[in-house]
Amino acid sequence: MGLLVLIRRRGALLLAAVAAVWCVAAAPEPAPRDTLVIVSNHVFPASKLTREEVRDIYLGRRMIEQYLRIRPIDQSDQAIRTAFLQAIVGLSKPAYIDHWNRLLFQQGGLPPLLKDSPDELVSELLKLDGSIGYLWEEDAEGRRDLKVLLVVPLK
Amino acid sequence: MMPLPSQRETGPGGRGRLCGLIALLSALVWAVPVSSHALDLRGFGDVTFTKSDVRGSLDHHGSFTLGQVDLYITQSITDRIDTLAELSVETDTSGETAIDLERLQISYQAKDWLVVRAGRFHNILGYWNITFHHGREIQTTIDRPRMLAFEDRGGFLPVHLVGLWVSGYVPAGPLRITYGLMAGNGPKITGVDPLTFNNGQLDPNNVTDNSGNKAVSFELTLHPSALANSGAGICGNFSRIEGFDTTGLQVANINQQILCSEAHYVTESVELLTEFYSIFDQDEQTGLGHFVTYTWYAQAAYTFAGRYIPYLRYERTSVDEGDPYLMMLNVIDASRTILGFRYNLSSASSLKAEVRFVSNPAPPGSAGNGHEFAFQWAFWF
Repeated sequence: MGLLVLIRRRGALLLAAVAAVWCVAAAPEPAPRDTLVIVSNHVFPASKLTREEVRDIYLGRRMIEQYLRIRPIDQSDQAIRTAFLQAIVGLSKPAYIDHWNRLLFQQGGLPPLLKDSPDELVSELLKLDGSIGYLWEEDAEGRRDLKVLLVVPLK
Repeated sequence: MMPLPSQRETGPGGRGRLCGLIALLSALVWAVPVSSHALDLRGFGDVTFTKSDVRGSLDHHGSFTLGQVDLYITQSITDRIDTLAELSVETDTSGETAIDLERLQISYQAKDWLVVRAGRFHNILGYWNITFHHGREIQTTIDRPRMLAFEDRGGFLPVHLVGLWVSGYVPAGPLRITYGLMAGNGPKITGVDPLTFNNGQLDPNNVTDNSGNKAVSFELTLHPSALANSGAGICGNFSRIEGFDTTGLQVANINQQILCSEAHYVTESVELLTEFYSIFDQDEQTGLGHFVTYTWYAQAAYTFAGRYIPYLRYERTSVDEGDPYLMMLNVIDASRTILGFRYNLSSASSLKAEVRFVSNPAPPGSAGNGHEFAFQWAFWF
């Protein structure tokens, strides 16, 4: 009898574990983020930028917008940074870092700033006139203090 | 080549200055607060082994060479004003340490199409000279092409210039155009042996200009917008170069025009580079006539798995016999084929190995044909 009880209990435990795994696996995944926005504060002189202009800014070719020095800002989050670099700049992250290291050696200047979170990036954008950055579209929704310069669908 | 006193500080005094320089740089780095305008100090270094069977080579027995310790500092003083200094500490063949100020520039960024700089620059001749500077780690190969050697290393092109530099960037549809104009002290040649008319050295005239004729350089390059690091362009340099022998007597007055072109296609895996130079010389002192010399190189490299890079370079110089400018600088017909392999240990350090096939169709007794084997460990810190 004792043996049968033990087998039943272990069987029940095993069944519960399988059910838990199945439930987790079947749970709906968060919707993939598929749109980037390039944003600035409202002091930034331009109202729109093209993909080529954003690429030139992040490659250090375009540095002045009317009366302001442009300061591009990167995010350290790998998912959004990789998506941005692939969609706009056309370089991998190592190649992008290498490009900037060489550019600073060749002509000096100011490299892109790096921020750890969307909140930090927005805080810097609001503080530093001339700065631009990239966010997931959802993170910029409802932010009236930001100006959307370009919408970048990833699909 | 003997370094000029005005260019170099050597020996114990040089070491003292080196210590002082390092202390000064350390103090600067310590003193400047970390901010968006923080001072950034970085540098390059390398150790190279070379064995050569070319007649007259100093590496006949195989030599380890301490490469340059190349330090560079960048700082933005304001949103529009940037500064850059590049200093190299190197050991010459006599074992003495020398410090050279390779670049010192202050720039004002008026517009994207107008950047004004003053200072000492690398001349806007071709691609290599304004891309790799003294950083051997970022160039694929161990050495620069022979025709782009630095003046104090036997170079015969004016790769440095002291003066003003105006440059800019203009987007134009699928292309972007970069341009540059430089004006500054033209070089001179010093130390010419009055008997052989050889053994001179090109001096960029860092401190004073020995003539009122300023050197002028230009470059115009077209880049496809879609490619980060590719383009093709033309360039040139116009200067009057006076030559002086070891007694200080003027022995030449060269009216020189250099016209050049370059093309580069650089991606994460492919590197294709080529540059071509035509050097037109006329010595107005001796009235020997016009001379035209051609020099060029082509280089190809391919990167496998991000770190294995086989490469090949061919370079050739065809000297117009009797050209007094090149005669003073000991330049002769020469070609080199370089077959090499580079292994990136990390993003900031690499090992390189090369075999070079050297051809100098020169008279017996001078340099000849041969092979060189070279290995280098280069790094960026």
